[in-house]
Amino acid sequence: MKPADEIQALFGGAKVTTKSARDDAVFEMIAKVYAQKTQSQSTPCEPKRWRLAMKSPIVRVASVAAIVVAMLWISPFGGGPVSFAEIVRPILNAQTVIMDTIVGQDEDGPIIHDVVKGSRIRRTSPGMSNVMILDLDAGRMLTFDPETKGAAYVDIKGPLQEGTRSYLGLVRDIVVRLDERPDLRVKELAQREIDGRKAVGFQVSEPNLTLTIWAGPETRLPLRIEMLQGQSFMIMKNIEFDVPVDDSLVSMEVPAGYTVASMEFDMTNFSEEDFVETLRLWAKLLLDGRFPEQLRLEDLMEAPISQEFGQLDLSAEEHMQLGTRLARGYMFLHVLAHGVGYTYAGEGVKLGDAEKAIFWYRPEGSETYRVIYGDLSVLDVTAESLALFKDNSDRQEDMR
Amino acid sequence: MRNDRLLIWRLRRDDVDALRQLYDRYKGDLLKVAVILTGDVCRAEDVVQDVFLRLAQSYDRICIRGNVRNYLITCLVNRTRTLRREARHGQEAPLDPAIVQICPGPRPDQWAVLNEQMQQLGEAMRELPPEQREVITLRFEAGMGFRQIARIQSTSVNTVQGRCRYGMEKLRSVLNGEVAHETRR
Repeated sequence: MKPADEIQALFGGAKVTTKSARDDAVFEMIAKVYAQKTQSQSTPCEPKRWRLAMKSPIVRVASVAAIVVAMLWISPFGGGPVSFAEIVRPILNAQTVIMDTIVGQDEDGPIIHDVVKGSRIRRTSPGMSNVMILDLDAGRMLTFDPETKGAAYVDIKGPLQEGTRSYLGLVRDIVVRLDERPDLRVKELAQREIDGRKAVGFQVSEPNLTLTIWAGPETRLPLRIEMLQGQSFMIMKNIEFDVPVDDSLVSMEVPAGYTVASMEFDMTNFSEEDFVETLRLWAKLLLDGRFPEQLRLEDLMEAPISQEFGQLDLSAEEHMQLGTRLARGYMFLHVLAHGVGYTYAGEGVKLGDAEKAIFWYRPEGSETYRVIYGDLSVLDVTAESLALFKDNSDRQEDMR
Repeated sequence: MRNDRLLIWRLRRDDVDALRQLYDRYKGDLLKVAVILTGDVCRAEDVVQDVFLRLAQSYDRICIRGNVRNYLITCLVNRTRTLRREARHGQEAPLDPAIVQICPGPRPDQWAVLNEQMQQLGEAMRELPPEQREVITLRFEAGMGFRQIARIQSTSVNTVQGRCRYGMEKLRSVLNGEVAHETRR
């Protein structure tokens, strides 16, 4: 065993538990301080950073697109036996679905609340006041903000539309295509507790995708669906089927009293150029001219970016265009992550550093790599030259 | 189990249950880190209470961009360092495990209960200088990278890597009984 492994094992086995009687006494003291603090707040306790986020139209669209994009590139696959089919029957037959989706691991990811009716989705998220209505048949999205009474339409035809549709259809596809993939088997998992309820689990895997469904043993209804595709982890929970959903909740009509942006925003295309611009904005506005530690969707959704954008002297439409650009850049990254892969080595590199390569990927069918440097210049580089970057970088994040 | 970020979101909306869930979820981990860093169960309990009290007091100002557990651990490290600094200036009782009076056994009102391996780890870690103890703890308990630890310690990555290497060597020596033998000798 390596020395580091020995120490890791020692740390892993060392445990501290607590006496429950003392737990309550200590917490009482903490809760008292919390109560005093909440009472002393003269304004509602909505955090400032989120308030700013809501006032900044750019983030409304950027966040919207970033959330939607997280649902992209879900590919269908198949598997399994009868009891599994029984569990997924409600998924196949439901006319409406209400659920929470967490992007990332359980502890860490942003939460998205979806109300699905037919091809329409009403999407909201804690911490964001804006509402998104997606019409997957028409390839359009309406976003409006009850706080600022602003609204905008976004064109989502193409990859974004299809990616979102396939995310919703994924679980259905699994069952529908059971017979087409006899090589795939459904694995039955040991019973466990989910949100205080007993649950039975079924898991289907293929090289780039693992799907786990936990269901109540008596109700036969899915309680939680976990999906790992490539590096992306997603959890669907608090799932309800066939709940009555009023049509007005998924209407694409702008509610009365809202001001609609005069131009529509285009999310149909995205390119390397958009991604380079995203990197520039990220480093310049968020991190005092240094590139981030990691390129995470969650960080793009964090509010500091909205605070910074909110301070820019731009018109509302310029703000929204900037936000659209940012989201398109992230879409480009997302596509790479689920396709040819990429390597990020920009942590701590200064914007403008022409010597350091911060990001590279090999486009499909290409002999050379596209390499983005710290000054955001982009060059085609051979695999031999690329080896030099790998040696010089002490922190790389490979996404394949 | 709800998402941590959702709990923080609820915390900002006067939801004391969210605070309780965060407390229940992380008190054990924080006590473990605190015992390792302070070498003293009594002091560790105080430090962990401080961290939660600060969370309760300043939840509206905190900005958590990584995971909540590591955020709390970082707060705890900073608090321990402040106490150590105050102790050096005579404002507090000494925190250096080399001179601190270790609680001799479980007190009737003791909050933390340590398993045997935890006691062994705590004793071994007391032999390390505070900076090495921090690095080893952040690396192996919080799973942080060297860059992240370097930022917390306001030093270079090379220094952190050095502290980690020396700390691991010392820890292994202690665990193998070499240091105890040398000390007795």
